[in-house]
Amino acid sequence: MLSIEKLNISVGDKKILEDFNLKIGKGEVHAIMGPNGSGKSTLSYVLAGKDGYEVDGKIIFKNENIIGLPADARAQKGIFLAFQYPIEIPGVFMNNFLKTSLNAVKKAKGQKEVDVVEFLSLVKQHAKKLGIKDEQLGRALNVGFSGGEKKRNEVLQMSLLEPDLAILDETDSGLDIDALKIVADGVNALRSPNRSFLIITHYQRLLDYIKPDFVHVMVNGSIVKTGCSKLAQELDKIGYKEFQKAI
Amino acid sequence: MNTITDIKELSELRAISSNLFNKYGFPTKKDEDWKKSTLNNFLENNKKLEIYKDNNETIYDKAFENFNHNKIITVNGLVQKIEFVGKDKDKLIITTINEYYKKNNKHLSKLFSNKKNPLVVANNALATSGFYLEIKDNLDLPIIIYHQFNSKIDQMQLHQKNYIYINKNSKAVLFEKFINENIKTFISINTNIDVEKNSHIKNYILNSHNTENCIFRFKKVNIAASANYESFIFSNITKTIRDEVEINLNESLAKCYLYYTQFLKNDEDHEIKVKINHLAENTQSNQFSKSIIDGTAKGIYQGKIFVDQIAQKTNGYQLIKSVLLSDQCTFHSKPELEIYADDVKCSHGSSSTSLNKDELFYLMARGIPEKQAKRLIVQGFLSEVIEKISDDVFKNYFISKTEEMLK
Repeated sequence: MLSIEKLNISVGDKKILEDFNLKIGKGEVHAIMGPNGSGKSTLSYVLAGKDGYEVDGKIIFKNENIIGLPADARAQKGIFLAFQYPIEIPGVFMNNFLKTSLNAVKKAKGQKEVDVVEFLSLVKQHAKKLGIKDEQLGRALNVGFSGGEKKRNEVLQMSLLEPDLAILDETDSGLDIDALKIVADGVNALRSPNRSFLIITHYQRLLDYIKPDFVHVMVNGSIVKTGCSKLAQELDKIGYKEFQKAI
Repeated sequence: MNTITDIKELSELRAISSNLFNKYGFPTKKDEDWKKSTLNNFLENNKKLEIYKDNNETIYDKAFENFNHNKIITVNGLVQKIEFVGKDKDKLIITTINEYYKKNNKHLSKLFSNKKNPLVVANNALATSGFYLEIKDNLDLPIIIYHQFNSKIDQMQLHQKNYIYINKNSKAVLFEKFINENIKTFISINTNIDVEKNSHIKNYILNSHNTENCIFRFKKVNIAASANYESFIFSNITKTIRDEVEINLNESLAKCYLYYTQFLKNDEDHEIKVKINHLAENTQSNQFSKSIIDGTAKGIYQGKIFVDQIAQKTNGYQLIKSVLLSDQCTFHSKPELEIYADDVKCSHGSSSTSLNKDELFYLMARGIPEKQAKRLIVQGFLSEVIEKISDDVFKNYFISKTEEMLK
């Protein structure tokens, strides 16, 4: 699904990722854990196609090097980034945004676009599963949403767009226990042999609900250790200090 | 054409205005209020334009809106046709401004009170066309005034003076649409509006496709106790146009809401000048303007809130925002507060930014192509103002105009 090879990312003189390598197979769930400032969010932005970084190396997604492709093209190809801090856009209403996004992706895939009636039925069905009220769908995008509502909204978009690769950037931050469970259930419902996940988190608690196949420890822009889901539990006990010392 | 030269009061008021204009001349960049104006060059180069006085006109009926409304059609400043509907027929009076002068010749000075603005005094001295409109009661349907200008006035100057009187306890929606098929004309429209006690008037203006002329629109609005004046001006594809308004909140609980959206590109421009005078206790004003500027276009907003020393408990609010889409476009904002009372709540804010890259990335990361994403952001930005329009029919009208404009 995804193969990152010798990826270097910098902003000005500052190197953020250096010779970074990662392979994610079809249907696999990978978690990247690491301390603040280790480059996890930058990695997610670069995978999604954000401007403003100097990028070198290869990002092979479904057998195509996507470096240089703009964010919209990557999303249309099936990459989805659930933002750590979802952006508030005043005046852009949820329903209009979701329908525009869904149809843009469908159009790119050569699928039939949905009309208003089909869209409303689809979105309500997905929203209900995530405990999102109809009233929220009539509001401006993320404006006045609580932290939990924003994160649920990210999962709603993910379930509508049905991506091949979903990157979750600290989706657990700002969620209470009940909301975390709802979000995790939403993610688990999307797990399939054809869909891969890259979950970025500081804490093990999200991984109690979404069991990863692989856990990677990322420090200072590189993966320093890879293991199975047990590694996350170990990290919860020992923290990241040991890995930082080693570097 | 009516002969009104025999009204002594009018002749005197015009003579005073004429003398003042001879003293001031056309405004120049040396005048603080006209420093950034784009009207100056046109006026400097076209000082000798002939004054238009004819009145035999043809109506262009393709501009009519297809929903039910009361129609007033003016061509080159003179009312050519009216169509009032149902019971509204008994609630509306319309005459030429000259007829009004004849019948009310002892009360004309208030219509000629502006002695400072050079273009208003020029209008006071020279206006021969215009109308008097009286709204006597709550209207069932909106009034649409179609201001049509045709090629008969090419390279001339036209001064129009209107007076709109809204009787107490009346509600009305007044939509003004400008249709310009003329070129190189200087059009000056000076409208006095009196909103009497407990009345509510909504005055919406579509200011679009006016790029070939120099247009100065001045409104003076007097608002009485517990009365409201709400205005919205939508500007797109405009050039050398200045919309100026002076509001007097004369009595307690008088309120005004002034909303503007502008979308200017290429070498377009538009100027807005607002002065709000809080002259009584417990009055409220609200200004909210949003502009999108692109290409080498230029937007200007000058907004002043004046609070008299007796106007305690005033609430004055002003928010001016613009998004600049290119490196060459400009937006000039000049917010001002002049406060002489001590128990007031006044605030003003002004910001100019470029398109928010994080917003753009967020939308693109959801598969929305860049062009469409930018359009969504721009539409969303402007819609925050349009959502404030309290009349649902016109709110939807301007939402669809915005969508049309962004296509």
